[in-house]
Amino acid sequence: MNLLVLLGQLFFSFFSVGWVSFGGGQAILPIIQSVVVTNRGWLSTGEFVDLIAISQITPGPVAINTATFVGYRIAGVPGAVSATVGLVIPPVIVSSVLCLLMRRHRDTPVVAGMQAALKPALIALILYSAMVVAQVAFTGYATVLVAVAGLVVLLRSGLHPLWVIVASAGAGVLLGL
Amino acid sequence: MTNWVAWKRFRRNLPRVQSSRAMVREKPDAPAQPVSVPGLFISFFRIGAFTIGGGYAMVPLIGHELVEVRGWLREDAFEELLLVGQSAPGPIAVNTALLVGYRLAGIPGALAGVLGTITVPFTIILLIAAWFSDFFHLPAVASGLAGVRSVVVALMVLAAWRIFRRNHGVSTVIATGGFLAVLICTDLSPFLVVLGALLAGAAAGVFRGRR
Repeated sequence: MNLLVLLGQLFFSFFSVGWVSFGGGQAILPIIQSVVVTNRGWLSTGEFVDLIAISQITPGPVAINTATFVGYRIAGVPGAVSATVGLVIPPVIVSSVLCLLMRRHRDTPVVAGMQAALKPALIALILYSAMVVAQVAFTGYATVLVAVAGLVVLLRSGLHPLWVIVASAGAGVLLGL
Repeated sequence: MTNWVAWKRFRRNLPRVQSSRAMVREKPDAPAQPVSVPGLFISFFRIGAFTIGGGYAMVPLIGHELVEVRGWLREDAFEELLLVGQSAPGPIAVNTALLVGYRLAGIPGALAGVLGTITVPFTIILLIAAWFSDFFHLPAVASGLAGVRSVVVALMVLAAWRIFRRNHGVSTVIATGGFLAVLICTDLSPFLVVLGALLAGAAAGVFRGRR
């Protein structure tokens, strides 16, 4: 019985996130965080930040990875399934409907206005999320240095983020962060 | 002198001419391989298994696989589906897999696309979650993870920068600052911020349409 309640909570938490998770990946994280860390208290901020780091190193969409991980931690494999399915259902419905509507309404001012307004909101969400991660991640000058060096490399060279992540893990071990 | 300038100009133009010629596809639209549901699953399984870094890293690979390798979709058809996939909420890779699968093979195709994309990531995360507490408290692993954590900040700033670069302008900066101030100063949930942005955008669109 208890397990069923937990599974229901997991499903509906991620189901509600699914409807507003515009922008994909990074932009979904603050919304997941507000549900999983702030509202439900399923993970601490530190655990959530570790989870983001893990999602970056493993293949697949970051939001799916996060849902799977949280679901497993709370209620084992059934939890992982219900959280992941919950997250995927709303986008499936919305993109099916959009696919039918888009061709006719793509150029209407309302759709254009909504798309234009979403962009700055997504940027703000991602930056806000970056600030939350930074509060946990930046424990000293060395960690800030790693982040700044990583950003410079990512912006200046076309290097794949994976190599920057691998290098940062190496730097973490070498510097004893 | 003029000769040298002309030669430089010639040199500069040479690769550009070649590349624009190369862009004219040799085999335009003919589907190279027959579309099948198992084939769709395998394609998206491969993309899901080998792409690290989430949605924006997966999209170019999906395009390459479907347009160039399999020849299932024309470039412009893929871009149209991609636009819908990005406008809808949800992971972009999953949305794109769904739409492409549906376009090519109906509902079974859509299922094959979505399941193919998430099977491997789902399994790997399950394994990590199962051994998380044992493994991640090893000192070396903890140090490595601390390094990755700081670079995650850099990755997020980069993601924000990428969206900004596509729509840079004073209005974007002001609106972003406004949303950021709301997020930092109030306890408003990100839900409401997204919904507020959608409503404000729709209202602005209606207003602009009336004028």
